[in-house]
Amino acid sequence: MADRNQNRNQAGANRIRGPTSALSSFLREHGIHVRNRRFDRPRQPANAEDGQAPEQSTDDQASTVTAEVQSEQEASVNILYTPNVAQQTTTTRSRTTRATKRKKKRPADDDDDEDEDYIDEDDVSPVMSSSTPRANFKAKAGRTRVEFCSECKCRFSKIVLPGMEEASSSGPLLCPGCKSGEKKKPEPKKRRRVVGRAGATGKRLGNDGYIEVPSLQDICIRLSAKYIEDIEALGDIGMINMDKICKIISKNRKLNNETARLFMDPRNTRLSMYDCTNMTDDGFLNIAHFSHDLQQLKLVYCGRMTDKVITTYTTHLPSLKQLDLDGPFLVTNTAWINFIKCFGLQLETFALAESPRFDIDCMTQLTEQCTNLKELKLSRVGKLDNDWLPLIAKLKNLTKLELSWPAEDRHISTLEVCDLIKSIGSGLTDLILQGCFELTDKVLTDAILPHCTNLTSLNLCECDGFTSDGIKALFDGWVEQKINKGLTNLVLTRCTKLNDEAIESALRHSRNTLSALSINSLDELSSKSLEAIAGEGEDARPCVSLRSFDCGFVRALDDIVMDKLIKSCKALEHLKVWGCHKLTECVPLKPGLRIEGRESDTS
Amino acid sequence: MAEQESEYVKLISSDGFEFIIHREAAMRSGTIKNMLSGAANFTESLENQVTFRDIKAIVLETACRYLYYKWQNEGSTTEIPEFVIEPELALETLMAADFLDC
Repeated sequence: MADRNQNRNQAGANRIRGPTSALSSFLREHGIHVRNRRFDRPRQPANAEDGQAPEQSTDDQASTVTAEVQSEQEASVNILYTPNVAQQTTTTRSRTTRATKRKKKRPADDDDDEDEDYIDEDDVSPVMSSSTPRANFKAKAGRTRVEFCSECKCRFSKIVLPGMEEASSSGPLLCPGCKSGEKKKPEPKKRRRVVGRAGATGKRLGNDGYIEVPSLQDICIRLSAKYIEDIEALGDIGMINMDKICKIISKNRKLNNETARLFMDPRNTRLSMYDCTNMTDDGFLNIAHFSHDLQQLKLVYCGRMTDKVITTYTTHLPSLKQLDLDGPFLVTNTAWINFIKCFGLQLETFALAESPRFDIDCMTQLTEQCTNLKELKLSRVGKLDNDWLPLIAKLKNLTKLELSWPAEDRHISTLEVCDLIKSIGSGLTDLILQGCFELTDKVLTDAILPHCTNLTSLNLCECDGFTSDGIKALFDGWVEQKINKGLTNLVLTRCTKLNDEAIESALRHSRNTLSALSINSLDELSSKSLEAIAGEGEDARPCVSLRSFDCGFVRALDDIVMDKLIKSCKALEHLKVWGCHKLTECVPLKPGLRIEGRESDTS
Repeated sequence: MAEQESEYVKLISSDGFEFIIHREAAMRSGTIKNMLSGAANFTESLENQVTFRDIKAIVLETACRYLYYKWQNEGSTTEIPEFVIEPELALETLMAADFLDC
């Protein structure tokens, strides 16, 4: 009796699936098995009734792991998949079905149920695989499952063919390496100490009470700031490298009024600063004072910029053509209007993000004065609304247009966008409509399809109103009428209604031109459309120029698909697979290809 | 792999200079650490040497000095000495340090 109980426990742990906590999957992943207290408590009296020492049962439980594996090793067909090695194991002993097992289990449980909150073990035992579906999650079961080898505790993926799921969950789970007899020692876990970055003093105490050693980057940045007055002493490393240095300093969040001086060269015609959080008015004014020949200026997180700065730019930067500001929320509409009036026809690019004070008056001025504008990007501009769109339609020279993330209480609606695209769509090469969730398929079929014939880049991130039919109609229409030569950049991130058909139809149109593609979070996709990217399916060829591909959180992406992708998309340089937990390290890395976000690559 | 782990590793600069330093010190750089001990088997981890195509010898030397400096001063409870870099190397070293993640 007790023996059978234990067998059942072990088998149950293997077979039962359901939601698990992050902790239990983490522990399982590291090969740690925590015995469940709830699970044991009601068992002991039951054992006592049977006249067995409770101690023995706990010991038995551990020792029967292997024995149980033997006895439960019924007919099972496991195909272990690695791209190079595909192994097949068959055993032909008869096995009991799950139904009979369940029947057997009932009487024992009746004895056990003495506790009110006692939960059946099915609910509490951790699942074997981290790739089992979440509760209420409707994605189809994949072909591969990530399992953990019972010998060496390493991850490996296993093919689960339809009808075989049952069989594959019993028997010893061994990775291809262990199966073939190779004994690998599990790598000893190294204790990792977290050493935070030292502050400006460098003598700060770390979390553990020790003095932190400043990072080499901090030391260098501090040194550069010290010699800022004597730029020559720091040596000349060229413009491109200075931009790289600016990125590094921004990444370290060390860009301030002093360090920013590094990048203000009177000969500069373009300047980008990637994190101006710590810069004040003085720092921004210095840009105008030291680099007055600037033609392009890009400032990210310039939250402390005031009207005074914008006004100084209008007078001190006579050659400015392209302005890209992220976060200038202190600048008022009068300053904007003044700026727009002064630059007028000279301005070619105007990109603004995160500004609640840029209003329809500014927009009216912009469309009246700056008719040479080629690029207009408005993202998270608080007052952006439908009535701005007819104004934008006056900008006939626009080639790049972005209208992203309208505020929650404002609207960017289908009808207005259609009208806008009808009047300026023919000139557009880039169209970015992120987060315009009110838009419906009509925008695709009535506006973009007939008018955006020169479009090369389309970003519809989080436009949840678009359906597969709309996307399909757009690309099929382009193919039929041969009016668009193909997109190079397509972003369909989080357009959650899209399915395989939409992707396949997009591929039929832009297969040869596409160099960047994002299908992040398209949960409905199956491996069919992913394989279409790799060139499988009817009259399909691989996307030969695809360089960057974001396939994050598409659960159909498994080792088989990834292997095909890597083999057939020769130009692929950057592959993002965050949240694709069916991937294992089985697919080898290829020189020149960066795979980002694969769980098994992190140690 | 774990069996053949040697005490020293070799770092090679773009202009061909070779720096042989303690593995323990080299591990203070996030990038080198990943190269030598990542889950994926890089050639670097098998040969115990890393070639940097973008780092000049004089910068790599500074980086090596820093790795030892960090190794030595980690966990100190008393004042630690300042790490000295020539000002004219500051920017190049910064780029290398960013790459090496140290």
